[in-house]
Amino acid sequence: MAYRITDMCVGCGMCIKVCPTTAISGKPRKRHRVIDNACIDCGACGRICPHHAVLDAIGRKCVRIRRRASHWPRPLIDYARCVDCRACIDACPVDCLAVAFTQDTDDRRARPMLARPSDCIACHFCALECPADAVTMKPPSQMTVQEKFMMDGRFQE
Amino acid sequence: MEVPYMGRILWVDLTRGTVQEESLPASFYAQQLSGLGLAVGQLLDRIPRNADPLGPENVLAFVSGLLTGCGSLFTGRWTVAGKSPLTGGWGDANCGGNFAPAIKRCGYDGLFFSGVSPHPVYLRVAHGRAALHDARDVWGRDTLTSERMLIEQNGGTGVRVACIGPAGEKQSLIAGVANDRGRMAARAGLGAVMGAKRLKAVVLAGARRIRAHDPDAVKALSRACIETLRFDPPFMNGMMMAYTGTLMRLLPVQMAMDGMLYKLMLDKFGTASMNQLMVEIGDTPIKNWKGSNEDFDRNRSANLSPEVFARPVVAKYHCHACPLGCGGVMAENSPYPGGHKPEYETVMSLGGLLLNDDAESIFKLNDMFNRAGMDTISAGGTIAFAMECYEQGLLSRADLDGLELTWGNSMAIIALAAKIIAREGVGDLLADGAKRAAAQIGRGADALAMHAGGQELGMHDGRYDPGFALHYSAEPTPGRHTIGSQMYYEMFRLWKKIETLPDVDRFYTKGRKYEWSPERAAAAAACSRFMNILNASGACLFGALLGLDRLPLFEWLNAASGWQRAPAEYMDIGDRIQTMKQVFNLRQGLDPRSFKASARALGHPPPTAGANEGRQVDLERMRSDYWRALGWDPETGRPEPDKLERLGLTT
Repeated sequence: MAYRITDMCVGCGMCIKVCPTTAISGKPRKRHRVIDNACIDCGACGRICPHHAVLDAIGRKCVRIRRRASHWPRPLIDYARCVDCRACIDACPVDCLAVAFTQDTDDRRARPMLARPSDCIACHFCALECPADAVTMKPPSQMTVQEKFMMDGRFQE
Repeated sequence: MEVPYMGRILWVDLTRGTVQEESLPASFYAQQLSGLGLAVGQLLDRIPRNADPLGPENVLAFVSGLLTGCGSLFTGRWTVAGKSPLTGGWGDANCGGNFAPAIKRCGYDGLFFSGVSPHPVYLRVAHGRAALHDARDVWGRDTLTSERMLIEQNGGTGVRVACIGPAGEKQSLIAGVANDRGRMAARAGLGAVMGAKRLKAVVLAGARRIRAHDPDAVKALSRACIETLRFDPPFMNGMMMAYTGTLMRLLPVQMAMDGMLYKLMLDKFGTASMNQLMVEIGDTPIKNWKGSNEDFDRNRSANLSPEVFARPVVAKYHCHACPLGCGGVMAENSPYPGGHKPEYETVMSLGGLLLNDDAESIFKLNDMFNRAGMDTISAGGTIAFAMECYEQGLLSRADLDGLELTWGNSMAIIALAAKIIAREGVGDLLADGAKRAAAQIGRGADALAMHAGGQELGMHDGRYDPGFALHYSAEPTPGRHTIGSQMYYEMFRLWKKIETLPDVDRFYTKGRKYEWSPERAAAAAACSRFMNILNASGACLFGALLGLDRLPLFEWLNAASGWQRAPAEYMDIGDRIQTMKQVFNLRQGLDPRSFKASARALGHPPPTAGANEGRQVDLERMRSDYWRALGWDPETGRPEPDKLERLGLTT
């Protein structure tokens, strides 16, 4: 199973830049190709392609979502549900999540947070693999102010 | 259909420097699961008879678990396996950290290494490409530094590393494999195999999704499990645990151990919570197994109380997919920044076993051995052996390079540890474990080496809980405290899922513990089988100790794989793995009877004071009943021919 690029491709190279596993090859202005063996089905190429030239693993055409203006969903961690198990950190293909230590000395914990928001490719892997269902994906443009605070890891008052 | 395994393994020939993929059929996983089952299924036929464990014929496997990364909890352990140079038989060791999901994310269930590389190398698997790279610049560096350097050299983010330290490179037979800043797959000496193959590290950068047949069902089970873990009354401290232990020792009645109690302890202090409790109960061996809790009373053990080890900890450390977090990461301003706090086994093998109550020295030794990549249990056991040799005059001060190695002399212990790691002077003698050192010293030193088949014993006393003595001596992997005991059986609560297994009473008199019955043999065999399933799933012993009614392991396996199997069918798989390990040992020409633990650890002569006064273990009887319960010959430990035929195996 892997994504495919159709002949709609104009060779702009956007997908090559966003692919976390260097699974796309191609010369500028030539049709790009996905290397099956390296593709992880994260869908970043499909989300970024301005020409709708990417088909997902089961052959559906991917819909472009504007990355600028915060339209790509990002993980929002519900710290009341989170059990600090680090499954999300290990699931992330771009390593944009990291642990942050709580300051409370009675309850010293390493909690996950979105440390590098600009690296996030909206793949949903963290939300899909979270055993506690503590991660939801939401575009920052639709988040409330409190949710944005939480996304930034400012989970303590 | 989505499956939780990747269906592929990677073979690396270090001699020729080539890599090759192999696909495995679904029927293989149905028969063996993954993890330990995968390793033993592949290695049983691939490692030739009488292979040199440190030679090119030995195959080293890094395997992930069947449930790893599926949304289940407590399932983040990876296993390293091969022929053990320490026991000469089957060797496996498992470890938490962050390496288990990385193996599967690279698209493999296991990585297998054969041959010997002409120069130090590391394997790098990144996004569908696997290749060996030169490791000469990291060779000789400690595990923490090597890991940091390899992460930096390979992009800095999203990279997971398992590596050996100087102990493994120098082929010390008590070396382990480290991951995530010093967590260790320590037992069986497989770090030495890696060192002999000149394989410094395995570096993984993969990002594949790990799927499950029914992810919603897996997560629903996980959520229910999390709810049971939320129970957290605020009342414990370290000294209270010590008094609890004293009380439990003095009372004639014993309560069956419950996993929830242990969960509370782990949650608060990690494994270090047992430090004083276990000394007081009589479960911790003291003074190279000849002392008792009276030699290491509450005033002394107070220096090793759980609070002492919680002090420099900045945050709890969770392995992959663990909701509990029994580890601890030490603060940047502590003397050992970023390292892991010492665990119970480390504290007691370097503390009580040596009559050492200097916590500072244990922090130091823990850091030294983690960096060197050495098994702290075996190192502690070996140092205790050297101490008793010195006391009895078998090793003179000149033999010890001038060290005044008296009981509890923490400075001498640190100096000796440095020598063992560097293999200098007397350290060269001791770096291969107590059994080999005793053979070199001769003059009856073997009676002072506390081991089973070469493997130093864990810090749980078989004279307190006879189950430990049995599993130390009768398993294909001897000397392990992580396979079974009567206490573990009480905590696993397997009878809740498998009705044919014997239930235990909630309260019983102390003496009952030492009464042997065929029911106990059935319980011990169930522990062994169950631990194989646990290791094949990549799950953690501490999770299982919650009890199977709280940890839905069998339900997770069904939901993740799409199989509809009863728990008893999984136990058959565990039984198969257990027998395969024994067949491996027989093919390597080992006599299972030779794994008997040292006489002193079995109460010959019985302790004259303390909690276990007068206790003796009738191992012969226990062992033959246990072997019979597994379908093995009760006298020789060889699996019965009809059993082998049923499993399709030959010795």
